[in-house]
Amino acid sequence: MRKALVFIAKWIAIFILASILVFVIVRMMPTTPVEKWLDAYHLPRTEENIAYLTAKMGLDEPLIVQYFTWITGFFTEDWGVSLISGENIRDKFLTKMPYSFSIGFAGIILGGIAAFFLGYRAALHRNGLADRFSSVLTVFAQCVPQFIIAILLIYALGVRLKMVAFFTGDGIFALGAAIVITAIYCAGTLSRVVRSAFREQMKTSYVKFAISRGFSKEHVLRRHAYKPVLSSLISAMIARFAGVFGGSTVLEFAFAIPGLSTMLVNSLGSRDYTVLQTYILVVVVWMFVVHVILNVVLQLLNARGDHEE
Amino acid sequence: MKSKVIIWLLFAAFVVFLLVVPHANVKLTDLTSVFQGVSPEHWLGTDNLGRDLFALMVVGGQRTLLVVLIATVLSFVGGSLLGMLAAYRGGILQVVIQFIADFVTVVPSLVVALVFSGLFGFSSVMAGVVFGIGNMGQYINLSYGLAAEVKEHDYINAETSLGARSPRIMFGHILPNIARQLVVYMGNNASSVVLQYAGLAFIGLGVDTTNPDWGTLLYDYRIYMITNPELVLIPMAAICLLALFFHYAFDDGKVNQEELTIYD
Repeated sequence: MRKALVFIAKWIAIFILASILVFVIVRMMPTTPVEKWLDAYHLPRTEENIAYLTAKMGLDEPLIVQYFTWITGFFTEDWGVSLISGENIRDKFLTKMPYSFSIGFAGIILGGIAAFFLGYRAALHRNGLADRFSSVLTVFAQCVPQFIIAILLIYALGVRLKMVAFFTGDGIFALGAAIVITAIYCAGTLSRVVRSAFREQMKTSYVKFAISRGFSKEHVLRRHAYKPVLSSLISAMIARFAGVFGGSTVLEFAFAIPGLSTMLVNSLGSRDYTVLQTYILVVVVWMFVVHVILNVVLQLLNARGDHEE
Repeated sequence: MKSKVIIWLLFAAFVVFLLVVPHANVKLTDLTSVFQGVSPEHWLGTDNLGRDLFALMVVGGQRTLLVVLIATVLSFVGGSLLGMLAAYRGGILQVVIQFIADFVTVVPSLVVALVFSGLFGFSSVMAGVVFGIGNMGQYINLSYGLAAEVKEHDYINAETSLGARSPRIMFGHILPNIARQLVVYMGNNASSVVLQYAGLAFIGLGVDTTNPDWGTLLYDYRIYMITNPELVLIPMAAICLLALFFHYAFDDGKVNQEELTIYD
């Protein structure tokens, strides 16, 4: 209970700090959206024009007021409109979120599942094929950028073999490819975590005892040692999630998936304050959701373990 | 051990080479000589704008190394210090430092770097600082965990009761005991900085294409993959080799040595 309270308090603090930082940083930009808007419509930057637009965009109010309007709006489903195009930001975000979020989340879950089985084989046969493969995969993920694989994949499957149309149709192949690449990149390091967690279990006396009673080695690992291993795997997944989400940004760009990052890139060009601010908040909230989900799973695993003991 | 020395010598030679080698102006385009092969004037040929690929690669390499240097020094020094401090002092300081670590780990540093480069223009120093701060969280957690373990040993208590001052205990006794693991982590982290920077340059926001980065080159040349594969392969190989170097150069056989178990 206490732990849960600390967890929530921490996340509220993270949210407040992140929102203040992004609010201040966005306002330190060298060019304002007012100037960008005028340039976009080829209007002169006269004092009148600037004053009119500043008032219209609500940028003339005191910063404190602007901040609170924005934050309260965020929680009351009024995310405001894009300063440049006048579109409703909330609708825009809601249509794009599924793409970005599914790449990160599905990628790390798939990667975690693959890592569990790979790590299991790797722990079972030291220096065996699976062990070598998981090492190679780890080094590979650390030394080859994801977007290179994306380029090669598009070239091989799309251009050479003409099997898959990545950039036309509903983009389902592009999304699938991005998820698979994310999963492969997670699987390497995570499988090492699983492997060392299994090896840690192999040293324990209950494993030795079960084996000496005649249970097969595989049986002992699969039936009894998996819980603490799953715990370490999920902790590792939680720690890596921000990095995975960052990586999916690049993949989204490489495969031209119409997700949040593509939108971010476009609104950066036009200095769209509201979109930028909201983007960071949405990312923080998404991180929070993922941490909650994985932490709950972690707690359930541990609770069940405690109960049986 | 010997192979490590060779790797480091090669790397030193590579850095010196990057810094001193004379190269053509990277901003010079020459549309009469595009896609030229390897020649004495153009060691790696020219690209779609007639720019000298060798010069582009050299400048890109310098920029990448600068980013890696800034990012790793910042997060290594900052992260190890904060982590040790949190473990040694405890109390409110530990809560604050732990919060900083959580905060920077939770906010994806690539996203932050994207926002910064969109707002203030893309520069390698900025990228280095953002990655440095963003990766600090992992160092803090690592050095905190290690230092908290070392702190429990009797000889630290003995030092304290003998009246040794805190800086002396932290730098003279705790740091040497945890440095090895931190350095191994730094190697892995340096290679991931190489990749992060390449990814950032690949997306290339508000990019000033006159400043070539390996990632930017890959983005520019990806459409010539079929006609001129070498344009893509060279920056690709450079990124992978540099990342591979950092991965192996800081690797330490003494860390992660494993005992045999009943299964072996």
